[in-house]
Amino acid sequence: MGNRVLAIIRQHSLHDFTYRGEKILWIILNLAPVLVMFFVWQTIYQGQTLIAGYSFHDTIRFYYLVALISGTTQVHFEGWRTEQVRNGMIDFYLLRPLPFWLEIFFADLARALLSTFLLVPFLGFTGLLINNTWQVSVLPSNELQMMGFVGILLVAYLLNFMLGFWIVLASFWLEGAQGLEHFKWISLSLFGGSLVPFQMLPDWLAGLISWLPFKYMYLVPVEFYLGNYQWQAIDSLYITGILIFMASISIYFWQAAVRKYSSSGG
Amino acid sequence: MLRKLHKYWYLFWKFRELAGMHLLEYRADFWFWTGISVMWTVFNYFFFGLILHVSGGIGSWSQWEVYLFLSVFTIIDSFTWSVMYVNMWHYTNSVFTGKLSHLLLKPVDLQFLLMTQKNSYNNVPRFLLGVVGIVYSLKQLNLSLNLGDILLASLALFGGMMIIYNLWFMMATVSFWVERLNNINDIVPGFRRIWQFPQEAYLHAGPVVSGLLVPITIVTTIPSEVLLGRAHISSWVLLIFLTGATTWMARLLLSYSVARYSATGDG
Repeated sequence: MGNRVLAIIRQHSLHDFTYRGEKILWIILNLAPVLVMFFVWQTIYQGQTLIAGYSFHDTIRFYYLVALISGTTQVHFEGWRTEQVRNGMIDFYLLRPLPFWLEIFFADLARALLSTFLLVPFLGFTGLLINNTWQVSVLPSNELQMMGFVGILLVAYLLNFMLGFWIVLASFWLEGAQGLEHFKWISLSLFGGSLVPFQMLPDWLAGLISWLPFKYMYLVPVEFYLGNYQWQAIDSLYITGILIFMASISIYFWQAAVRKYSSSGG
Repeated sequence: MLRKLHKYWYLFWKFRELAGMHLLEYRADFWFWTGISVMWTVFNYFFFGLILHVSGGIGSWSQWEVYLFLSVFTIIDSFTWSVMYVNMWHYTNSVFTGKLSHLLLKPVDLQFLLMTQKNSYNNVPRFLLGVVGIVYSLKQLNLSLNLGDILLASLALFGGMMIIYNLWFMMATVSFWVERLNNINDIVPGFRRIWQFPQEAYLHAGPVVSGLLVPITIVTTIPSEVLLGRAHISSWVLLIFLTGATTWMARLLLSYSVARYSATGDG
């Protein structure tokens, strides 16, 4: 099992590394809108130090962390995996001695590790730029906080993976499942807390976000990193329950999907 | 000359007709992607709503002026996805697969073919939402437009879109030289956030950054300023200059690139 997993990770890492130019371009394209937001907020903050209790420096840190979290935890396999399913191109995966869903997971993990590796210099440069331009430090206050943050990022990645996998599962039944990816992006931006700092949200949306598990994808990691959120036992219980629930749903529908799947030709 | 113009006019509308036939054939696909496009448009207005909820405006742009600006952006965005993206996708794909040879053999201008042969109608509701947004914002601002204003604003909008399209075309032409860069067509839409905000949003960003960003923002800022009745002659000069310059550069780059193009087989 271990060797098979390593083989998948190696194979996908090599493939992704071949297209490193494309990867770097994606990183730049993901960072560009965030950099734009720095300047927009700088203009908005002219003549005022606080907006909804949030300073300009806090806002800069917020968007920087959103870029970091997006770059490390977002998954991007939905599009081409749903196409594989729709085109009947997963037959050989079903014959392999490793479940298809594990193939998807480890292939994406390889991609995520490479993306994170390539992202680090860009984030470092952006951090330095922020520090030189606005004297804002984006470094964590201590190692323990950094470790906790990495742990929450893992949770965020798992949640992202599950949602992505649900979209792939939907493609066994729905022709337009690929479009659900857009629905996912909008939902995560809206209910994950990545659009504007939490304090700036209207009460109804803030209330909704604090109930939904999407908050562990942006809001909780950002606030934890900034030292505004105390991770408690209830958080661990809640998120474990959510992940188990999502995994159970995935397994149930995966079994139904395999029974439903058929293809002919090549 | 007139005969040639007539041929291109006829071809232009023939392409639109073909796209219409495609729509009728894939109706479910059309409704699905139209829904997605409307969803993104509503999301954009909501995002701006969140910012304006706490800020009240951006720089000297009041809340309704920003909404008008966003509506102009929405109209440009509808063309970005319905015209520019589909054409540029086919362009780079034809270069990567060698299918450009088919287009080179046709007795029609290559750039005309590459920039006009495809379109989708998925973003028509997005366009209409943009128009409604402009009308509603103008009403909130107690402003009215005459035919001349509408024509001028349409002209500015066309100029702005041409600048984006030409920049995108130049970027897509880079596909003659690079391989393994399938996301080359995501570069221009990836920077859309820049012209999603008015010029003034970048004026505090320092001379280097604002020097880089401000010229790009004219694509949305000038049409909005025309609608608000405060466009300066200098803005028009810049818009006309950039439209002309990018058109010329795009054509020059294409001629240079085609000269070194080679392909075997039919892709």
